[in-house]
Amino acid sequence: MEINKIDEFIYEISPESNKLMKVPARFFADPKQIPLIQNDDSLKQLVNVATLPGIVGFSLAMPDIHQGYGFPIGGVAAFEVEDGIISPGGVGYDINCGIRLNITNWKKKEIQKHLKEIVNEIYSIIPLGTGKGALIKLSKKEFEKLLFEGANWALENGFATESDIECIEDKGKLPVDYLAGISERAFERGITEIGSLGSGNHFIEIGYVSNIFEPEIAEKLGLFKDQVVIWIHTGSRGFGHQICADYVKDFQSASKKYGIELVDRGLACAPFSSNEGKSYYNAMNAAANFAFVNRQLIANKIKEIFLRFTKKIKPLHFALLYDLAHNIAKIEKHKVGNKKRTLIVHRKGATRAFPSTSLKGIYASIGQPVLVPGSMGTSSYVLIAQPNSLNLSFGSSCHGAGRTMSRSQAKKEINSKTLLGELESQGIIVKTPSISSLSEEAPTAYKDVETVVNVVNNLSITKPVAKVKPLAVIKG
Amino acid sequence: MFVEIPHTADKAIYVESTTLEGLFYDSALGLMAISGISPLKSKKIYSENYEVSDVDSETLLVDFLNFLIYKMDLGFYLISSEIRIDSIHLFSKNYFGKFKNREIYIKSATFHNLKIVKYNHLYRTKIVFDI
Repeated sequence: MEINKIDEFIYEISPESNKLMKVPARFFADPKQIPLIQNDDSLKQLVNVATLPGIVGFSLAMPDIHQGYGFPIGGVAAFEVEDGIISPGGVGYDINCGIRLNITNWKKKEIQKHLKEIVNEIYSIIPLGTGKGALIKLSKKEFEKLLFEGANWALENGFATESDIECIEDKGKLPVDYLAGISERAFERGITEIGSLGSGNHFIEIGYVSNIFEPEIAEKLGLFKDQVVIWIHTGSRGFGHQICADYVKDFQSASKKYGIELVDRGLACAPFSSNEGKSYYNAMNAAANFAFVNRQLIANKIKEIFLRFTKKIKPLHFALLYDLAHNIAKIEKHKVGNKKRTLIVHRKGATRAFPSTSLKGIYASIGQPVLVPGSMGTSSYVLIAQPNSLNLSFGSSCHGAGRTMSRSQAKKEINSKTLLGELESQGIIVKTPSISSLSEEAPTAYKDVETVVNVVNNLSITKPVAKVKPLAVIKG
Repeated sequence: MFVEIPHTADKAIYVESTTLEGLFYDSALGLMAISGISPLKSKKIYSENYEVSDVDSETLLVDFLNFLIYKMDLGFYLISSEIRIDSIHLFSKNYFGKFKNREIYIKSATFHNLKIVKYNHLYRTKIVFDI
């Protein structure tokens, strides 16, 4: 596979190398990342996406690209709404897996004495790990209402504030017209998991702002040095997983029905305008609404826990900086050539990054915050979207560090107890229901997040605003 | 038989068996093994039939494994299964126990490079699970 350097940090695989490709496959990377990226099948998957009907511009990947199933993780692909496709594999099993950043008025030195106690409270109250559990119990009727209403349901039921809603991507509500395309299995799995973290790479992290790079923007975002902040990374749990599994299966026959040639069955898709395509879009949006509420419920519970410590620390101001989806397909208008076109943009392990000109509401004057968590124990970043994201990446940026090592390899090479000791020696508190799986999320199993962030910043897709260092990690 | 093989972000197994039914059964046992199930001490066993028709054997396999993943989400693990496959139709009688814990939460079986091949009298496949 011949990789051509197009510009600094921009690489491309030409359609001349594969006659099935409809557009070039393009990825953003630091030159030193390329051997790592070539270690797995992610570039082959990027090329495969370029063969799908109705794809526009490029099959794109962010610098945190790694192998997924069907589409690579870190992938962005935009399709014509009229004659393009929608693919569950382009969104992922964890629909609206996403991240949120809550901010407080507490400083690092003010919380440190009580941190262990706070972490223990969070660990004992928030359902996490591989077992069952939910923060709230709902009737099916109420659950259905939640799926239609998204974060508004949380607001109406006292789990969110008006300002929370303003700071969620699309205000935490994607359009859902009907629920008929969602299986009973999905309902059974979802209704018992609303308000739960899950396992794998899902986490809650308490950190502090260690560096401010853009003081004016940081101030507008409510960020200051040594400020205590909270990251929450989770998604739509079994509800979304079941919806994706159902549609990946159904789209095996739908692809055949519509004469779509698939080079990988993980790319199974249907025309966006077909009944099958519309049905998946509806079900996916319902799962996205579930995920927005899920993260909101967890954050609200953490706020309650923090409030119990106000007498010991000081009065609490707890607010949402931003909550975003990094596994989603959305209808957006983008300029392609000289024309504005309506596209269905798939982001799988990629973050929407709209500059100020494309936003309404709270961040219309500065652009959308792009939240990039690092691997466990390393720094995370708050970036702000820049206009070049619309020129280069359909308004998209990276979502994290991106794996370099398989989970089984990480387990073989890294001792979980040693890793735990290393993190504790750095002063980081770690709580997890499964110490043995800690090594799977070790920093050495991931790319260097600073390199990833430097690529999108150098391309002016984003601009760095602040760096956050961890104080405590609660791993699901 | 099944054996776990490396995959960058997920879990994967290689499975082989002398029969297609055996391949499905060993795949199911592989799924239980990589999930790291710790059964409850209770000896209560539940049985449930699962019958499905699909477009091909690979879809049938993913369908069957996703049925077991769904059951795991409800707290049940597979103890044993009697499987009959007729072309693209699967009938299975499945025996489940309750588990108290599992190490790994599996979201779904995937179609990633999934192909069932018969070579030297053995059915073989590799299955990637999203976790």
